[in-house]
Amino acid sequence: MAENNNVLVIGAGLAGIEASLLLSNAGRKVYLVERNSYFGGTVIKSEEVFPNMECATCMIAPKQSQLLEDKNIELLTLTDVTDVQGDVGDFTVKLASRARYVSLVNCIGCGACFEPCPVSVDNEFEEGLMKRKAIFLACAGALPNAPAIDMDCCLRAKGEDCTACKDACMFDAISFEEKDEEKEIKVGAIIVATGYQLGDVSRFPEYGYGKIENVFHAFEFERLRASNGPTEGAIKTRDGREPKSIGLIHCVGRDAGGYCSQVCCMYLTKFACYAFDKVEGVEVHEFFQELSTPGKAGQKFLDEAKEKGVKLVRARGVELSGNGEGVRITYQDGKTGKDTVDVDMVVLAPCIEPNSGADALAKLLGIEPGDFGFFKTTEFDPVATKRAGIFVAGCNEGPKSMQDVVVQAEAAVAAVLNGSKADTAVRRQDPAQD
Amino acid sequence: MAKIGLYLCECGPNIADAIDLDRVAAEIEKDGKVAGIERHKLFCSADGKKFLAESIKKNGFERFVIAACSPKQHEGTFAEVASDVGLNPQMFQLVNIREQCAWTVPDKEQATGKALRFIRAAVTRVQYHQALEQKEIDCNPDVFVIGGGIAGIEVALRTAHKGRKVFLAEKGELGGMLKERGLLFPAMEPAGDFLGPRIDALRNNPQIELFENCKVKEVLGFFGSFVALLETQEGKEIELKAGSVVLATGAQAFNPKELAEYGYGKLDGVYTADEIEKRGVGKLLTESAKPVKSVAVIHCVGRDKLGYCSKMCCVNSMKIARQIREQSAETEVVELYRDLCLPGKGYDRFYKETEAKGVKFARFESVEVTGGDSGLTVKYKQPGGTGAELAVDMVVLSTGLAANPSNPELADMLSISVDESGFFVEEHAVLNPVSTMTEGVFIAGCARGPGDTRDTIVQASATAGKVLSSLVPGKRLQLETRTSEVSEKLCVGCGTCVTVCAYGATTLDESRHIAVVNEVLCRGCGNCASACPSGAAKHRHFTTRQLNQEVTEILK
Amino acid sequence: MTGATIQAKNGVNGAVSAVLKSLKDSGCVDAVLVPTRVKSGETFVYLLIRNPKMLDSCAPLPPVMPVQGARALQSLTRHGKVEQTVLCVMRPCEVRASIELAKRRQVDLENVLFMSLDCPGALRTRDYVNDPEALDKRYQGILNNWEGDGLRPTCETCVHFSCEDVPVDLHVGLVGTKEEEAVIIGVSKRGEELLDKAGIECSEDVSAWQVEVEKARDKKAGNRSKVVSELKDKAAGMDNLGLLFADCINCHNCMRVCPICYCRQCFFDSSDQVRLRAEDYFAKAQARGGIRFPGDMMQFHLGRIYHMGLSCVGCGACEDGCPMDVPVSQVFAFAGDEVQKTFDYVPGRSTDEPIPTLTYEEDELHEYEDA
Repeated sequence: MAENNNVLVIGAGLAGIEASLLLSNAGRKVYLVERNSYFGGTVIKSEEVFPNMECATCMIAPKQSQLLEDKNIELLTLTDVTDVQGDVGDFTVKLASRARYVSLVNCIGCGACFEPCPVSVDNEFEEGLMKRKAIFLACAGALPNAPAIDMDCCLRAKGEDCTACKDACMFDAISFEEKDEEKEIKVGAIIVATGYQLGDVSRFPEYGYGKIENVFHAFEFERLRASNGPTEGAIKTRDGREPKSIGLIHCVGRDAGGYCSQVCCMYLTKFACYAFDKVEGVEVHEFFQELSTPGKAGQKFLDEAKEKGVKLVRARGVELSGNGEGVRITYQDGKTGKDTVDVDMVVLAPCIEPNSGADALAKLLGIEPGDFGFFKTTEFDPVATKRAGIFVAGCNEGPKSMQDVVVQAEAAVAAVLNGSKADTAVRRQDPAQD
Repeated sequence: MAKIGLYLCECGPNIADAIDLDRVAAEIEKDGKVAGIERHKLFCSADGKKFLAESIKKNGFERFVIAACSPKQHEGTFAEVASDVGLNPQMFQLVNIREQCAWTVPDKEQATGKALRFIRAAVTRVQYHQALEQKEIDCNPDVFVIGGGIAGIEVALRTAHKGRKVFLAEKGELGGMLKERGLLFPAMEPAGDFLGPRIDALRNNPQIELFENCKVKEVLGFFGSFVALLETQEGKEIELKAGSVVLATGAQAFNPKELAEYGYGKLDGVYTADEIEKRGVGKLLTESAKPVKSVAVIHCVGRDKLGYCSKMCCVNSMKIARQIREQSAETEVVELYRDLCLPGKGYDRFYKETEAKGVKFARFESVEVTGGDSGLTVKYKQPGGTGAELAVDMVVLSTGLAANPSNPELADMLSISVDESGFFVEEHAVLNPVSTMTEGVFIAGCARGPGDTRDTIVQASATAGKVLSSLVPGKRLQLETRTSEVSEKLCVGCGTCVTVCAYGATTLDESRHIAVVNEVLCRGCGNCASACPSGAAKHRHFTTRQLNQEVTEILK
Repeated sequence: MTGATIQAKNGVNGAVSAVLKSLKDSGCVDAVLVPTRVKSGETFVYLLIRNPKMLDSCAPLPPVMPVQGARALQSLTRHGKVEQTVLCVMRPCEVRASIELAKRRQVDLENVLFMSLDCPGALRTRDYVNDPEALDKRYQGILNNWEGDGLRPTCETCVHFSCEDVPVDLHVGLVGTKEEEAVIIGVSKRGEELLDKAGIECSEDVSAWQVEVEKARDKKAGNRSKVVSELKDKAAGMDNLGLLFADCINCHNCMRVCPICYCRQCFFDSSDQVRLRAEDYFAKAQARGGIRFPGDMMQFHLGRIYHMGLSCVGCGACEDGCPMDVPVSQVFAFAGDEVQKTFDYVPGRSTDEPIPTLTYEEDELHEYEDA
């Protein structure tokens, strides 16, 4: 039987985009499945990326546009994989797409429908730092450039006959009659690129997250700095003040989790640079356990931040408490014992975890979840799972930098294009393969 | 004069409400330069595209201008319509009257005026557009890999295919840094068990040709068509042809000789981590003149000098410490570290396991090794400044990784760069990490920066992914149409365009003393055209004439 | 720095030609490229001399500069390096122009040696051809006193008249030396070797000469800042600039004699040069009341300043060649100073200093980003 050359890519973040583009270039048909209404993953939450402080969306947007124009790639947003049957070269996959209620063909993304919508709920993409409507775009610039209706909060779901958005649309793009859809596709290989989420910091009472007003987690801080975010890039406390001092806490949940998330030292240093760029005269304290800046660019990046004036404090046992509008940081410095620093704002770097649903997906795909819930791969073939034809890429395999995510996505493409043929000779003899 | 059609897109109310399109149409008609004007609610819609195609055909327009949104959004859409109706896709101009006029100029009168200027400029410009040919070339799918360490081996194994040959050149023997390593962390498997089968597979693969003990003398050519010249030890020259080149030249251990504080090369019992592995931990312990009761492992040797953290040394030195404890339970091992670098999901556990095996850890700020009759003394400063001392029988220096000294020469040959540390520079550090500024030249493993074995393997696979997806046997390479060219008549060969080209697309033809553009490499950025003083270099779709007419019209 | 005194009883030219002969005789120089008076006696050209006897009549420091030496050297080495060793005897500005051309691959410096002389400036060529005898005498006076009338305005403001920041191998010092004497100095290592081989021992202290050079430079620098500040007002704005260039007749002589203008064909002479249609000219004339023809006069000069300003060595050839006395060279000096200061660039100082517009500095990018 002829092998099916189509490929399913699950997750349209950085890894999924890179893998899809390369596969298309090789002439493969790609189904790119994304559970959100937008694609781009967590990268598009960032304003800039280390080590060169380049604008994240400016880097990703051209790749996204290229993908949207690519006729070999079928991007399916609001879609989940519900079933996978078959074997390498001949998988049958069931997909379930939720209705967007907005036609991607007709909508031009003008946004005229937002204003009249009477609903207001927290915007999840903005970490709840701002509101959105029931019909919404995750953030300005989100792609595809068409909103979706969140039927969980739309008045119509409550039985009201609201047509405010539809009335405002000049392109006949909104249809309340749109139904959820199921479809079946045939593919020869699958790349799983479902990404990561940040660990829930409210698990750790010592940091007081959710209780102390001006304790933030990393994504919240990213959105504060984002020029398309809730403050249009101004770094502000929850009560709207410009902070005079910021504390950055490393390794939140590392001891409990049992692993180092690899990128937090670098991105917290990036946060320090954000602060110095946006807030004149701000004091930034970083509280770290072990400073880990692996690779050729790390030390230089850290040195630059030091030059800008970041104060690096080796600390254990960090505890936070409220201090008026500010936050008091208490810690063991390893030399003189307990010490405290008072700041206006604290940012926590939680550990990086596989995205919610990774376990269920592993079960569905018949691949093994490994340490800490990350997908298990062969030690020296870091994209191959135990099921032939299914490969993983990106942070669902373990925490990694953007660079490493791209590298792994490209490696997964090699595994798909190489087929099961040329590589098996080696893999069979691979002692590390269990 | 060519028959030009003008299309005004209303973009729903987006343009229609903000710009007086009736006035635009009337004034342009008065100019008498276009043969027809049509409007549509939304040209990018399926209905709009159909309307556009039919109108062009019906009116027999040879060129057209469409005033709508940003070219970033729909230039491709309308180029496709042009192609569909049999026009060359360069024969139209998209004017952005939405983002640049309707959405940014609140006053309707002013917005209309601005749109008019833009449209008039485009109508003038489009008369000077030239049809450009979409060129295609055959490409060679074969791969030339430089370096026979694990990175090069992995690239070769993952790209050798039916229809694709791989040539692998290694200046010495196969195996790279791994051939002298004992165990691989964190699996603690013998490195030989990993490497051996791979080298066998390499030798047995009919699609792979190995050139051991060969030096790369020269690489010429470009993406899809490189020619490499190798020289064997005997001085024989071999010529190879390949479509892509992979640099997998690896790295080398930092040599601590230049740092006096470690006493390396002077004091007995001071070894580098590599030496320990090469000789074998067990052998060193048993063959030592006197029993080795205590060992200090010093981290970050060379880090300050190198200017970066080499990532793999913390875990590698723990591996050695564990081996010592396993082979000789009475030997005390202390690891002196600055910051533990344990990135990723597996290494914290490895560290805990190492501690459980009785390896001690102590943080230092500075360290000095001295010798005496009774053994070695390791003096170090603890955090906070207090001094401490260890009397040991053996010191292991955990050295970082330094770039391969042959990198700059290869970089020169392939028109790519090395950074200040000597590692190859990526096309983009984040988004295109295994590619370089020269298309078709890739980098994998420690040639692009320090890392562990796993990093090297995944990068090698990534390189394979890039090669396999870009050079498909039998598939022709489509070239950029909007490229630059150099007029032989006007060029004096000053080399200005060569200097400003980031893609290595312009080179000097020494015999004719002029510059030439390689159309395969040219991406049409126009740097050369703007830098050339005489106008010898020009961009095919942004000619002086086109730009001048456009700007003159706007400024009228 | 040390040097050797050479006798100049027969004038500077005689003294230098004697040195050139001994260099040629020593065998370390195959040919000499040096200005020589033409038979008619009215002007000077560069001769590539292989026969030592012809060196008798050479004029290493002629009163005028009808041909810029860099142009002569360009003709010789345009197609690549020369196989024989050539010693070029030039004014410092000509050496510097050669260096700028070398950066643009129009001159190949391999096997090329440079000798320069302290240069008091040059007289206007047009003045000279009218009465060579009188002007020869006047120039002799200028050489003796290091000042006098009739020097070209650019030369009055030249601070690179000696060998500082000029990468020569040999230099002849004239400023403030005793009458009928000059000093010869081996500036580069190769220069020292040459003198050594020619049997000229360089052990004398030349600090007295150096002091005089400093003094003369201060004076010229003073002139320069005065001229530049005057020009700043005169050239400010398009209208004023238009006035400065008002007499231009579009003959493009300034471009043809400029040693740095190296294009095979000037854009402004090429078919690519955009000319408007008559109706557009009418429209322009309508808008402004009237327009000047040919129309690209200002564009031509601005284009040249834009292309050459960074590399302008202030040799004055453009102004000397201008039939209408447009102060081209002075405007260039003014614009050149500004842009050269911006990039901290001294044209012609060294082949190791790349042309700033062709180099990429990461810092500059950040400046741009932050702006």
